[in-house]
Amino acid sequence: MEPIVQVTDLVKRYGEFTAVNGISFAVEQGECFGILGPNGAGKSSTLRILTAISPASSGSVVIDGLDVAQHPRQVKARLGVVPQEEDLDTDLPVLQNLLVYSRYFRMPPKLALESATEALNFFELGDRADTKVDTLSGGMKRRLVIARAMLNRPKVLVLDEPTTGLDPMGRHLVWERLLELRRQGITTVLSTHNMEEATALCQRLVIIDHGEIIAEGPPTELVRQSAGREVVEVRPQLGEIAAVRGRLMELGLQVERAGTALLAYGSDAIELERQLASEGLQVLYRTANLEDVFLRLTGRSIEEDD
Amino acid sequence: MEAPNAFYAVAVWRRHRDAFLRNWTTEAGGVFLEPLIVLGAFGYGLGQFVGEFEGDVSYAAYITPGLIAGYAMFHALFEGAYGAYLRLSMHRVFNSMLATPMQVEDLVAGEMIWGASRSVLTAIAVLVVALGFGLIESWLAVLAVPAAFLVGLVFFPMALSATAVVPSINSLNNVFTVVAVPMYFVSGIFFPVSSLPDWMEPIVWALPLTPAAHLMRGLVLGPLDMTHLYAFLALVAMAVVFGLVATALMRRRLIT
Repeated sequence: MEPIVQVTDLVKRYGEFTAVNGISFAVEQGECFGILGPNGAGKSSTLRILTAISPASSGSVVIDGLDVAQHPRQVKARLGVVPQEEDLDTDLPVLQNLLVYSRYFRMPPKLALESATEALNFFELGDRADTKVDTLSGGMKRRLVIARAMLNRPKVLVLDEPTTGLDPMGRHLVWERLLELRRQGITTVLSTHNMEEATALCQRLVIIDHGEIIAEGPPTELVRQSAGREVVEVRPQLGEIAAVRGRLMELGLQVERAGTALLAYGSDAIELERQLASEGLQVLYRTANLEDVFLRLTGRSIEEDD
Repeated sequence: MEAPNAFYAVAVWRRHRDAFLRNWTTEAGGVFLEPLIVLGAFGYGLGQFVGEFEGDVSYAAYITPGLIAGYAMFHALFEGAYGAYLRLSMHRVFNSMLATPMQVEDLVAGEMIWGASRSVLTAIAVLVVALGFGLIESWLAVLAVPAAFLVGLVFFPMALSATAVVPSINSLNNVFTVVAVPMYFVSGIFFPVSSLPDWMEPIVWALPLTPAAHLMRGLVLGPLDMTHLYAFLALVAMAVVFGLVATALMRRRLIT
């Protein structure tokens, strides 16, 4: 089967600055696909081109067989878009937000009302139909934006950082709904800089940095390939970081620095933890995750601004 | 640039109408109070010193058509400046629309017909007030309503163009202090353009409010002649040109 989203050699320049530098990937029908990377890596630029909102400098995006640059209206009719910055209509209450939006997709009023009511119930906002948007919590607003994106029964749901800025409770509610959509077979493309989110939601992802793809695959496989299974996190006293790092490297370990911590990969981690703890160091043994993948590939932490 | 799609333009208009209908009571009073005060102060206050005017109409009757044009201008400008700025920057309404099958051309066209609708509402308010004062004598005055729509189509895109380029909402004050208010006082609303110094006349006729006021006066007070047709055609041409400029600037602002 043809991939439903095909991105080929995508480039986006803003003047001298190249935000996206030759990205290619494909998303299969029914897949939840992630674009993971730090702030400024080119995630939003990529998604804005993908959703026919911004033109590419070069390269192409084909969605459901349609070239985005040539058929923006038809492509946008097939998408559900959740932007990074919440853009609900504060002049209208919750249900009317959806009904007004449905007109932009030429949905007949009766179908629109059915679809809107169903979406509100699905996103646990059924009792909020007449509420002013301003009075909703951050998590409710985000769920409402996703409900709005689902109104037109999109072929692909595109979410730009769907839980950024939400508290843990709000985030988990959004994840739970997105996982339910994934179970129903909705094709989803999402960007995130949250490792836990990428791991929880995405079946396959690309990691991008400085506008380029630096890794691609299912999250668990990426972790195994780049970081191994386990990590020992060492937190030396301030001022001793360099010395401790030298000591770890003497032991033949691969070491990365993340803020005030040193991360040691590639050994029998439990044994190592015991040894280092006996030397009086503050150590933590844990399983490797996507954060480690990014750190191994770039030498930087994903939350760090460079 | 592609031609706007009427369906989506109307969908934009309907969104604005729905938002307006939720809040209209908060501004309805002002829409009527404004012409009441201006017609009272200028028409009857100043009018006492002016006497009969241009033929044999009272000063209040003389300024009524110009006021319709002037208010049609102001309301279109307010909507295109502050209204559209809030939708663009604060509430991100335009962004949400562009994520749907709507294109920038549809959005600007819909905004324009909404801005012109605001001009129509205020024109009706001025007409009603003037009718209450007994200043309207001809049924032809009803044509001031569609003419106000045209006036709105001229001025709304001027303000929308400013909205597309200003760095902050405060800069939009210039649309009023530098452009609209001076124009309001020289464009033949309160005194005939012919009474201006000779060198100023052609300049004043080049301002968009002058043909608007002239057309309104012909429609409300009569008699109509060819100059009103020219004024009408000039307004149509300006609406088209300003609409295209606003679309280009909005495209530059929204599509990056």
